[in-house]
Amino acid sequence: MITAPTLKNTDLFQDLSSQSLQAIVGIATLKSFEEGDDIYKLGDDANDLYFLDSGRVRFSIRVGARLDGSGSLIVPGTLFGWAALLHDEPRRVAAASCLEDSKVYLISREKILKLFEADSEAGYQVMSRLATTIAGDFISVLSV
Amino acid sequence: MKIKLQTKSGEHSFDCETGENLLFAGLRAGLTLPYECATGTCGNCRARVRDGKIHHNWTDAPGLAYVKLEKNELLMCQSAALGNCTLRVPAQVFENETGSIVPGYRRGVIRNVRNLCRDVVSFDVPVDVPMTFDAGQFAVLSTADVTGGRAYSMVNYASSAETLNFVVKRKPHGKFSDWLFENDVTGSEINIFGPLGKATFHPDEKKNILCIAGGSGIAGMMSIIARGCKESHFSSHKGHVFFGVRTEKDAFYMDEFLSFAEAYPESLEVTVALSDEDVSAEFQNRYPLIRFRSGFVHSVASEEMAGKYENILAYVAGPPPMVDGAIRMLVLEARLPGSDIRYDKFG
Repeated sequence: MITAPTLKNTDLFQDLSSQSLQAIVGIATLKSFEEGDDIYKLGDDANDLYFLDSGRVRFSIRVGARLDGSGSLIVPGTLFGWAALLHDEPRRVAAASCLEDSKVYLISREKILKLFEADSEAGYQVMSRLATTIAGDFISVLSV
Repeated sequence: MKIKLQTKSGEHSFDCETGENLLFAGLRAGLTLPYECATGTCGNCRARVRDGKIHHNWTDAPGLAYVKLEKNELLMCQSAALGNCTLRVPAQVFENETGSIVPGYRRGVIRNVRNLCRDVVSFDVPVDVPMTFDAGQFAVLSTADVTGGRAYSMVNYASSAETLNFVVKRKPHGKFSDWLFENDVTGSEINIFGPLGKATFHPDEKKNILCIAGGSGIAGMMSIIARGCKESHFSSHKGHVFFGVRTEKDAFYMDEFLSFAEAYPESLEVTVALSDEDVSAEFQNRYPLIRFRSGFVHSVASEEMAGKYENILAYVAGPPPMVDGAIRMLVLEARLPGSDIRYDKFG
């Protein structure tokens, strides 16, 4: 279940106040996926941020046709799909698919960016964390 | 033995030989089973045993990270049935359309081994049964001297190939590449299962072609370019090939690239990107129709392809960082849909 405390446990939202977190909970909508369903594919418009409530999701930025098994498993309580927070019509450079029946909360890009317009401190805190995440991903790619 | 499949699109069944890889048995029966690497690393051929017993051939397979063994899940490409079985596959599976290429087993012998550069070798395998394959496809090769199969793209293209050509880059601690580089393997028997893979090219798609490759990732793209040249695809479409290596000493297939460029000088551009040095005048003069640039291949491609992405099909293959960089560029800069990006990532 998505709550202010469960969002507080995520990397991106760990600095937010209870009030800001509650506002994000208020705009999240629950969606169910079956095992094998794609949540999103390479090239899709990045319209939502996701919070995995139950199930198991495979996030694959490095899975292609051969030999590279270095995708990652997303477990309940994890936020993923942060490309939705980027500007200029973001699109997916990775794929997310369900390894078992899963329930996922969708947080609309449009709605959360509107929240951040009204709550600039929360917006700054999240974007700072996002910059750190992107830098970390960039370094890990280069180090392979 | 009989394998029954429960899938999202209905039930199927196929026969499987004793000890046979379940994925290969299902594919050669004409079923569109889900897979990507076919060699135990990607996890896409995951299934669950409903009834019966299976044997895991490779208990350390990286793809098992996506499998729950406690729920009787398995990787079909690394499992064999110990008797009749019922499996559940969480995907839509269909029978191949009539006329589709169905993979199968072949046997051959390694011939014509040649060093293309310091850590890249090419070899031919004349096969007992000609193979029909789409340009860009691969096969899984195995030999009695090395445990497990390895996937390599066919470099050549022929509508019914009696000989398959492969290129292999030496991989640190790679048992198959160690075997290939450290022994005289000419005359060694090779088992082949294929053709496999969906990063393919067919002229009927009527699109311009963009190939971005690092190192031995160029293998499948040579087949694609060969088919494009053979079937005059570049008479009416553009081809852009970007091949990334570290230095001139690491470049290979240069004579072949020159031949391709000479055949279609107005429409087929080949660019070699050197990441660690600038091209020498002597090397440039040897290959006058090849363009040379300095930098990482996906960065060079990004600069050179600006404004040229209309009606394009992109192929990307090579080491993971290179493929990641190229895909980001194609999705975010070129705004290509995912369906127009076909890629292979491998170490």
